[in-house]
Order: sequence, then C-alpha cells, then structure tokens
Amino acid sequence: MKTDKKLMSKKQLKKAALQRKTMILSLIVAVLLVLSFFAPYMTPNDPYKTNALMMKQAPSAQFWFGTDGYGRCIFSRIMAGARTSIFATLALVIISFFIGTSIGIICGYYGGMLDNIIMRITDLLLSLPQLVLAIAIAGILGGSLINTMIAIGFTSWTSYARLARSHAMRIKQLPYINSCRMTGCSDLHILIHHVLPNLLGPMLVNATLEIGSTMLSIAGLSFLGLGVAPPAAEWGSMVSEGRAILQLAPWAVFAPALCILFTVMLFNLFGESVCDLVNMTE
Amino acid sequence: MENKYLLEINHLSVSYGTHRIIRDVSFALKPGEIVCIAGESGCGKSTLIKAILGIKQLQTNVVEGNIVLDGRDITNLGVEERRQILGTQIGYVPQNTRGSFNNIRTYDVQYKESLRAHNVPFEREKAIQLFNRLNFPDSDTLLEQQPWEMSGGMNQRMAIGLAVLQGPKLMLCDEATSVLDVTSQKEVIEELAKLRDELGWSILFITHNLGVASHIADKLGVMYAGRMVEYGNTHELLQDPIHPYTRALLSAIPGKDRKLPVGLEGRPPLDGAEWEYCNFTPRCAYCTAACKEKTYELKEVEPGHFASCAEGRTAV
Amino acid sequence: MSEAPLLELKNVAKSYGKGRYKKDVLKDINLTLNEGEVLGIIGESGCGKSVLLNLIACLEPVSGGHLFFKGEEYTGKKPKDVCQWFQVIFQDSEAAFDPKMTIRKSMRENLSLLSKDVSNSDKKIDDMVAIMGLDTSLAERYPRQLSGGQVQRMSIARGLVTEPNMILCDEITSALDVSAQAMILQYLNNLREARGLTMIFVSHDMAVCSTFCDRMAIMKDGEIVEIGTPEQIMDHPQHEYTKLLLEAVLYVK
Repeated sequence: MKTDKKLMSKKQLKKAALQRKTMILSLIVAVLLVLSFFAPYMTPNDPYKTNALMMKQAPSAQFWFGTDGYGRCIFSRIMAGARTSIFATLALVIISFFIGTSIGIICGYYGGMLDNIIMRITDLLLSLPQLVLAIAIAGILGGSLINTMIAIGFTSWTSYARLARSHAMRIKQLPYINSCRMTGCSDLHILIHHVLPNLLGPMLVNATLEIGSTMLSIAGLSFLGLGVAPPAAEWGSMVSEGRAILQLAPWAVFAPALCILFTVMLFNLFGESVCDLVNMTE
Repeated sequence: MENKYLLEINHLSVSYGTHRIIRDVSFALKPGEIVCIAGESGCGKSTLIKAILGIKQLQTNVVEGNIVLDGRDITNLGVEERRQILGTQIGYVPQNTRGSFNNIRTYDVQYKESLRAHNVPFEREKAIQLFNRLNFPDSDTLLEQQPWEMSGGMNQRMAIGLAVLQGPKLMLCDEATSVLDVTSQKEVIEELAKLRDELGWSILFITHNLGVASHIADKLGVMYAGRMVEYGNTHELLQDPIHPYTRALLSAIPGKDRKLPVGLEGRPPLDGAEWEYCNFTPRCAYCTAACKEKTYELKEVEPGHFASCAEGRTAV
Repeated sequence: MSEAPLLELKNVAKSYGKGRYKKDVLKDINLTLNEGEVLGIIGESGCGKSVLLNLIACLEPVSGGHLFFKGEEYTGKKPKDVCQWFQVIFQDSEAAFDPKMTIRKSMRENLSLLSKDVSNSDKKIDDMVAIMGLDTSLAERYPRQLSGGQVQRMSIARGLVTEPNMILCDEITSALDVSAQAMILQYLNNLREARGLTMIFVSHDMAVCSTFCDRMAIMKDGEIVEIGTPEQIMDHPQHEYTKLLLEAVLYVK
C-alpha cells in the first residue's frame, strides 16, 4: 500500500487554492465593475466627437485603439460602452434571477395545476430558439436597450425557475419542513425562512454562470441593430459598425470584440470558480 | 501446506491519511469459523474490513502490522495481485443492499459478468442448487428478476449467492444485515450459519448488533475507539464479560427481562487510537487513577479469553 | 367520571393514487391512547407506521375514518390547528433541523410560534436541554456539528419545549448506537415519570418497545394485527405475524 501521508491535507490544500482563486477573480470582477461605472467620465477623448480628418486611423498615442469610420476614438467609445454593456447584463441577470427563483419556488413547493401550467409555458418558451424569439420581440417593440433586455428576459427567467423548482421539491421532502409545519406557521414563513435560504447557494451559482451568456445575447442583438440606437456606444453595435471597414480599419472590429471576449471569459471563470467552491463546501 | 489459521491480523494499525483509526488489533480466524467483530460507530470495524480488502480507492493505509491470508502476507499487494485474490479468495458482502447490483439488469447477466471476471464459469443449475440449499424463496425464477423489483433482503441474499459462487476461502460481511427488516435479518443470518455448517465456510462478520453476533459467531471481538478491548469465545464472552465497556454495552441492550436498558453517557474519543492508555477511561465506571498510567495491552485473562482491562469484574 | 381518551382513531384509512394505481397504505385503523400512556407501534418497513403518525399530526389528510382528541373530532384539520397538541420527533434528526440555523434558533422559532409566553424562551430551552442530559453550549451549534445521539436528544428537547399534550416518535432510536439508544430511553422514561408524558413510539424493534411501552400494537400491511401489554405480546402472542416477529428478535444469548 502506498503511504500517502498527505492525503487529508491534499483536500484542504485544494480547497484553499480554490478559495484563493475565487478571491482573486472576485477582486478582478469588482475592479472591472468599478472602472466601467466611472469609465464614461474618464475617457481620454470625447466618445461621440466625430472627426472627418481622423477617420480609420490606426492606434496611436492620441487614439489608443485608433478611430472608427466617423473618426471617433475607439478606446473612449469602448470605455463609454463598458458601463452600458456590463450593467445592462447585470441588471437583466438580477431581474431574471428574482422572477425565475420566485416562480420556481412556488411551483416546486405547491406543485399541482399551477406547477403544471407554468412548466408547460416554460417548455413552450424553451422550444423556440432563444435568439430568434428575442429578435422577433425586439423587432416588434423596436430597437433600444430596454427592449433588448425585455426580449432576452422573456425567456431567460426559465432556467432559474427550473432550478429553483427542483430544489424546492427536494427541500419540501426534508423532515425540517414538516417540523416547521408542526409549529403552525404559514406557508409564506416556511418559504421565506426555510426554503429560500437553503437553495440560495446553487441559485447564485447559476446566476454567475449566466452572466457570460447574457452578455453575449445582448451584444448579439445590438450587433444585429436591435440594441442601442446610434450614436450611443455599445460593444455589440460597435462590432457591427466596424464590419463595413474591416479591411481598412480592423481595430474597429477587434477592439470591441476582444473586450466582449475577455469580459465574458472573466465572468465565466468567476462563475465556474464559485460553482466549484460551493460544490466543494457542500 | 496446512495452515492453522485462515486469516491472521497481527498488530494491525490502519489510518486514513494521517488520521489513525485502528491500532494494534490482533486476532485470528480458523477455517470453518465465524468470527464477529462488534462495536459501535466510530470503533473502526469497517476500517478493518476495508484494510483487508485493500482496494486503493478505499484509501486505507496500513501503518503497522500485517494481514496474513492462508499463510500469505496480503498487506501490501500490488493492484494486479490484489485483483486476483479479491473474489476468488476473499468474498465481500457490503452493508448497502442495493450497492452490489445494477438495479435494472437481471441477476443472471450480472452473475455471469462477475464470475467471468474471475474466470469462473456461470452455471445456472449450480446457482439454483445453491439457492435451494440456502433456502432462498422461488429459486428457479430468481435469476430472471431485476434488483429493483426485489426487497432489500432478497438483494442481500443474491449478493451472498454471488459471493459464494466465486468460491472464496473467506467471506467478509460488512454490517450485511443492518438495513434489513428483522425477519429478513434473521433469515440472512441463518443462511450465513448454514454456509459454515454445511459448506465449511469461514466468515468475518462486522456488526454493531451483539444479538446477531451471539446467534452465529464462534468467536467475538469487541472494539472501542480503534482498539480491540475484548476477544474470545462468543458464549463465554457474553455470559461473563471482562472489560467494563463490554459490560456497559450488554447492559444497554434490551433483554428478555424487559427492563429498561442502562445507557452510557458521552461518546468515544475521535482520536482514541492515539491514546497510549485505555481510551475508555472518561466513560468507565470502574476507572481508577492507575488506569491512566497503564499502557493499553490485550492480555489473556482466561484461556482463550482476552481483554485489555479486568477492572471491576465480579468474581463468580 | 371517566375521561375520554386523549387520542382516538376510528376506522382510519389512507390510500395514495387513483384507479389502477391506487395503493392502500392504511386500512381501518382503530386505536385509543390515554393520558400518560406510552403506546408502541411495531412493524417492518412499508407497514404504514410512519404514515399513521403523519395522519395523527395532520401532516397528511386521511382518506377515510375519524380522529378524535379529548373526545372532539379533528379530522381534516391542518397542522396549525393541532400543533399545540402534538409534536413529531423524526428519525433523521439532523435533517429535522434547518441546516442554516443553530439549534437554539430553531427552538426559539418553535417557542415564538407556539407559545403565548415568549419572555423566558432561553431559560426554557436551557432547562429542556439540561433535562436531556446535554450541555447548554451545544445548542449554539449547527445540527451537522453534533453527533447522532446528541442531535436526536436536541430534537426531542425541541419537541418538548413547547409542552405539547403528546409526542409522536418516529423510529427515533433506530439510527443510533445501542448506548445512545439506551440513554434516550432513560431520558424519555424520566420525563414520563416526572411529567406524565403521553407518547406514541414507533419502532421496528420489539425488544426496545417491550422495555419501554405500556402497550404495544403490531402493524402489518396497514392493519393492526394485535395489541396488548408487553407481557401479553411477548409472552402470549396470538397472531401469526406477532409470533413471526417475536422469533426474529435476536436477543443476546
């Protein structure tokens, strides 16, 4: 038998490493959020100022990421757009989280006809391709950031609802719920004080994992022209605008695209790290 | 070569990682004998079985002593050699009655698969004969059933049947009846006794239930917090136990007299195996100041009857 | 003046499912329980004994029959109507506490929801924990930080701290070591002698019930096949199934 004296501490070491990783990623995310919030006030150049003489300029000392087809500073536009892109995403995730979790808990705990009806609605919504549905809705409502968020939010709550429902169904069976019922308290009391706290962990993990894909959906719709109206800066629409001059000024496309890429990657890594940590603690 | 003992455990200490679970455990099992190791949760009896199985995934770590099976030291075998003895020389029946089989495949397919892995041909008639011998109900149709349709007791019987068909020298039963209903438990116990009586089997049986032990075991060992505190002939040991823990344990078991059993306050120390002196001292009714000075040692108090402490024993 | 029994069950039945898939879990149960009595219900798994406790505590509705408490019918009521009368102690006591709350917090919640007087809840909690032979500091811990025996005793303490008329114990010692089981029986016995505690004690272990219960009821497949005192059941069993169970008891020889 191999003597592996470090077996117990290996697990603890792994956990400590995971905690460190999550801490670092959280810090980076926090910094990103703060920077993007104040970014529009810190742009080196005016993001909306067009300049016919400086169109499609390569990156230089004055324009760090070059200029776009209208001579606007790309770097400044990216900074201005950061707040729009990131906070719209977070807002949508938070709203979907609340709506989806509430619906899911009620369906899971009560079951019955209500559960049946709502689950069939989610089946219906999920049977249609999400982006196509979002395009249709955005097309009907008209292009704007709020309408984009509504269009995506139309189906995004379903994943939270399903997850919350399955957890609520599991928790409902546990003896402590019956113990609570034997104290004569109302169902609402049980849902808020005993069901919700015990499923919040996995639900938050799901939320962090959804941030990346939600960001891509918003950027995607903006790319298709259904998002913010020009000349507002938003990363997706910037990629779309830059497409026309891709050969002449590739930085106009790559800069915002890479920003989307890195931000989504960061949130994905963060989400996975949180997920692993929560799984390990449980 | 004829060996006096089929299984010898010599001064065995086992740990998980750096945490020592059992320490300096010694006993021996003769061919055709049923030895029962009894104790409460945390005493290390499951670890003992896992150490004998020695599968890498169980993560047991033998730090001292050795395990000798039929004259051969099996403590530190390589993976391939160990695979050869498991199943063919050592059979295993686990506690989880649903754990041995895939719930949705019929028994005969699973029997065939397991036996083939040990190069034993699967003969239907032989299996049915065995079921009859061990008094399994509906033995002709059993092999076509699927585990999910059968009760826990039946599953456990099929697990025993599978272990028996592989013809091992030694059978290890890890709390094989704890999760069963009382009626199933009695039947399974009787089948194990039959294996010994009619087929000359040797069984090492782990349990927390002294009643079970008293019914089938030839020899009984009582473990507490990683140490063997008493060992001997079952009947003698239960009639007149020596160690204070054994006496306390017996008082806690409801008996035929229907008197309220006497409890034992507190719980075993988690690091009991590390204590140099008797680790039962905090809960012992007969503990003296001298007990903390004496190092633990299993001594032969009477012929064939070992105990690590004889304090407070009433002379008959 | 004869007092009505504390609890009475008449023709109680419970089934799940409809039509082809209907399963009768309990059929025609009749029981009475007097104040200060301990009734044991013994049966193997699947006989319906846990379901019976759920019906008595109104955690599930009956499919047929009537339930009476102190002579008054309470069939069809909700748990909040009967929670002052009954408290249930579950087998898996660790899962019977909210894992996110300390033991003390759980007990305080029980007291605040069930008692009219919450002024000295902490003292009541401390007293009850001490009666169960545990250190009061253990109440500050979370359920997973206690051993099986300790958390089971806490579960009993929580059931009793609100002073119900009777407690319904569902296999509370089955998952415990013999020594922990004996401790719990001792404490329950002390409570019975000091406070005249009325109890239903569900178990699969006849030997345990015979040491502790005033009367024993044997259940099989949703029916009570025999009921009597421990002497009657253990020494002179009438029903075939009772005899079968008795033979299966493995006493230490």
